Amino acid sequence: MAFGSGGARVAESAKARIRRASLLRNEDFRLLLEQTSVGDIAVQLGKSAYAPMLKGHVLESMRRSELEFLLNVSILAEGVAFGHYTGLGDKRLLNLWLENFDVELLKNHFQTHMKTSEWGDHLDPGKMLDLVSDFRLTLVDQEKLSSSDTLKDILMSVRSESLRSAMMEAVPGGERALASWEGDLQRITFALGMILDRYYFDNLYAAVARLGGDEGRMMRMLVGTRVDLMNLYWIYRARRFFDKSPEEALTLIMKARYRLDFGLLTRAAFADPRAMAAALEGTPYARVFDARVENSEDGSGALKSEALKGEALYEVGVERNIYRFLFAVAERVFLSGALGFQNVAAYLVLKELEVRDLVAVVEMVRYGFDKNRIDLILVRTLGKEN
Amino acid sequence: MAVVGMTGISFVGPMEEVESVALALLKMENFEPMSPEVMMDAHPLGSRFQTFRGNRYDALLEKLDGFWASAGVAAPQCRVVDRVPPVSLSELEARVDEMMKTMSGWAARGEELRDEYETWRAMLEFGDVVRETGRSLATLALAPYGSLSIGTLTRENWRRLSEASLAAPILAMPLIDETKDASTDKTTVIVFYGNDYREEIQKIFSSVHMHLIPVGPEDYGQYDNRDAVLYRMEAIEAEMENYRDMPGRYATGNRFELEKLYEMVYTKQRIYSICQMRGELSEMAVLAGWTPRDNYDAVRAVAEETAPHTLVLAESGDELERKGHELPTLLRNLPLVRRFQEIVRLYSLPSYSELDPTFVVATSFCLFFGFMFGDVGHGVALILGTCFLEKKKMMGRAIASVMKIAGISAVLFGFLYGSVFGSEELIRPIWLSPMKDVNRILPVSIGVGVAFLTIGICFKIQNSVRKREWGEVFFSPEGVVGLAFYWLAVGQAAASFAAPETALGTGLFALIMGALFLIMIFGNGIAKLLLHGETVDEGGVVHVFSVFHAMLNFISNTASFVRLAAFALNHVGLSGAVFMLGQMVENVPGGKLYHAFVLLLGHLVIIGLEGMIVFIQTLRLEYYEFFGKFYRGGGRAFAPVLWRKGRAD
Repeated sequence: MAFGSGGARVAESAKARIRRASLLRNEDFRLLLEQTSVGDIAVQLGKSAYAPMLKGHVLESMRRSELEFLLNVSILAEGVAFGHYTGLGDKRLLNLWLENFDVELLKNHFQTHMKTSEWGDHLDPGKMLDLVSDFRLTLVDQEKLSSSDTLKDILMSVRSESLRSAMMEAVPGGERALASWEGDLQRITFALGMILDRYYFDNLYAAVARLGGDEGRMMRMLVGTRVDLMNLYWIYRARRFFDKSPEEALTLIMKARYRLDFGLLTRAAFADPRAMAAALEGTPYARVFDARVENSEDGSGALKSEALKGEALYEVGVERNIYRFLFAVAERVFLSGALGFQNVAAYLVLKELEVRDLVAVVEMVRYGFDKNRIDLILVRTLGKEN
Repeated sequence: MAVVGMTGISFVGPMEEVESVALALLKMENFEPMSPEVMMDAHPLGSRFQTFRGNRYDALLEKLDGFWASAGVAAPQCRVVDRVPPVSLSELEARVDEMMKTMSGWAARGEELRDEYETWRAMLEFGDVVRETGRSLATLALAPYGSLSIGTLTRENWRRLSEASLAAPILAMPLIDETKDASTDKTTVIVFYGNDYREEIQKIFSSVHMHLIPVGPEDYGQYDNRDAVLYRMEAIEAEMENYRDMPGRYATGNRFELEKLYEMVYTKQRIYSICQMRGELSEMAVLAGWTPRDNYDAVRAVAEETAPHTLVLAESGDELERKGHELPTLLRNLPLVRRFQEIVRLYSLPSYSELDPTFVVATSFCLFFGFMFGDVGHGVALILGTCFLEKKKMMGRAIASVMKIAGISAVLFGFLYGSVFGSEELIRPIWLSPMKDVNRILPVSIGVGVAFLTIGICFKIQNSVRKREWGEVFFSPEGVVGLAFYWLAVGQAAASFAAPETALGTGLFALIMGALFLIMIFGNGIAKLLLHGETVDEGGVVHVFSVFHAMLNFISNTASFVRLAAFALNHVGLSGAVFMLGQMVENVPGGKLYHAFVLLLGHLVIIGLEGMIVFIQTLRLEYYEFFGKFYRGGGRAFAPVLWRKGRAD
């Protein structure tokens, strides 16, 4: 290892550790939960590490969508800031990691054009790029994307030829369909989103698979766990909500695999979706799909109240378990103490999960949900106040 | 020889007049648009204007460029027009869209033909495979137990389908192996499945986005005649070719109208590149931007002539900078000196209020390079080599110009040193020989360094005066007191070596130096006291350390100039080594040839490798020793909108 790259490793690892110390504590979350409006939450966050992102906004009257947008952009801003500390190789990894935002931008572009969703809760590209001026889109040509009118224009803004061709293939109707906004738009949006996600994670995993030493092992663990969980979750959702057959569900998954081979994935796909935990027995992921235990009020596994038996809550539980799993993996990376890009990646995971929790808190306060149930939703475990 | 002063101008008037002004400004090619908010913020109308960003003509022009590209013809070169085309955006959009509709019709037909061709091709391949087994395609239609589907999909989706086939009761295999063809990402595959699995397999096909070839078993018979299939494929190919040529034929047949349309769209696109950040209020528009101060009168005259109802507001760049706006930097230097702007730009462009160091960089660059690489022969070779690399487009024009000037400097110093290809015997030195006059060349190099650093400190003082930072001007280590300290130390050292009797007494010297040092240390306090609160630095411990750091820098920066003499010596030494190596191989068989080869290779290494090292050392002296004293940079280049798209914007 060259001295220069060694220095960059120390710097990026140190920064990641320092930033980790600035993440919100349980007390901060409890304080946020005591607030009565989105504006109050924004004011509280304005006193935390989110202050730079919230600076210049009228916090007292901030709307939910605006706050959620700024919180999401703060992840990107922090990621981009690491670029000043990383060496050349890690910079490439960082760019690859942040391509997630390119993917989100593209998805939002489709959703807006296809009228399947509006800006608001999502990322507004113009505003986002204004706020994080150092960020450069790598997956798409920003100029072409912003001047695009048709679906073909949007797809032509995608730089990777293979990705573009895969996306074009997902639009039935050829040139005519690409030149207009017709057809089953919901289905096309979904298909394009899936292709983008697959491309992003396959590429990222391929990049970390080449890394050696502790850094490679931990990056594979960090990205690979996510890939495995997403593959399982996609199978689960395809089977449970979209009435897909097991074989069809298997065509949706990524080619990247970490601990799950195709045999295990097939076993999960052919199992009853509510019994995936049993199908995955013997793997670390079995517990993720056992949301019943996690959701029990006293931790014993027994569901006492009728409300908790609701299907929706089970779904929330599975999703939360996935994020808790990722949280634990990111924490484990920090505990190892090794230097390298894995610290940056782990920090960005923790940040993303914190923002996810904050969005949950904002929505709880905004819509007046029962705050006693917050532990059923949050990735972090607040537990009881001492 | 400086950063050109700017003026901020706003034009407020009817939209059509503002368009005319924009066209006039476009012809001048000396106007960079900015947001009207910069100049209108204090104006009563400022808050009422709706501001715009972006240029809607970009998309139109891009479509037309796309058309010319697909026609295989270069887009027309538009000449500057005298008046704004009297056509609205919606009219142009309608005309371009109509053209594009025709184009997309051809493209769609072409696509249909391509699909049809793919179908015939797949069936040809399939038929060949079946025929090899001694059967015909028609007989397959009678198979009662299973079905097959043929389709195309990307390689990635083929991977997913083939993986899914491991878990599904299907058999999938590639029919046409195109994996070796880099031009396509498609694979044609054939999938066999039981009739009871038909519904499920359709979902899987949809999931992997397989494009099914629309041929049912009942149609297989028509593909049995191989010759007929080949004939049909040829016919489709001919028709595809015909559709491919359509845009070209259309462009030739309608050239005049198309060029006229392109010219209108192009002109409007350029006009709105200037108006891209305009403000609008009902029928009124406001256009704002920067122009060089000495261009202001011309701009005003043009505006009065072309737009009599348009109000022109102007504000000096200095005033706008004081209000906190960032101004663009335009450097203006003598033609030869201008070549060295690239060296300055390589570090960072000066900000608007900074001194432009290009002239000093140009002269010092030549001096340093020649000093270290002084040789008539090597200098000429460097010039010729640079000309060659420039001609072969292996070196940019700007850097090539700098290298050629550096080569000339090396030639001049070569005459001063009496050195030709390292030999000091061929011509008599006008000034000195580096190897023989080491005791003279060393003090000269230090002297050059002292003079150079002094210029750097003076620049720093001048920058501080411009910014009215009087504390910095007087009490900082790079201010008046620091300069006095440096010169006193240098003078005393020089006197001690050259004429000890003229040196100050030790006590007096120490007293003055100590006093100057204390002034720098307590500069903050003194500045607060005398200059009403203004401080020189961050204060406290940080300031004390920064003063110590500056003192050490005086020593290290000055010593750094010893490299001028060191590299001059190195050049002679290296050339001598090449001559020695040449002589060593002269006595072996074929020695003359080897001798010539060693000399050629050695001098090439000297010119290439040593030339590069000297170039880097020269840059180091400029950037570190000189710029480090005063330069901040961070300027943004003035980027006027030009008539030719893509030249600057």
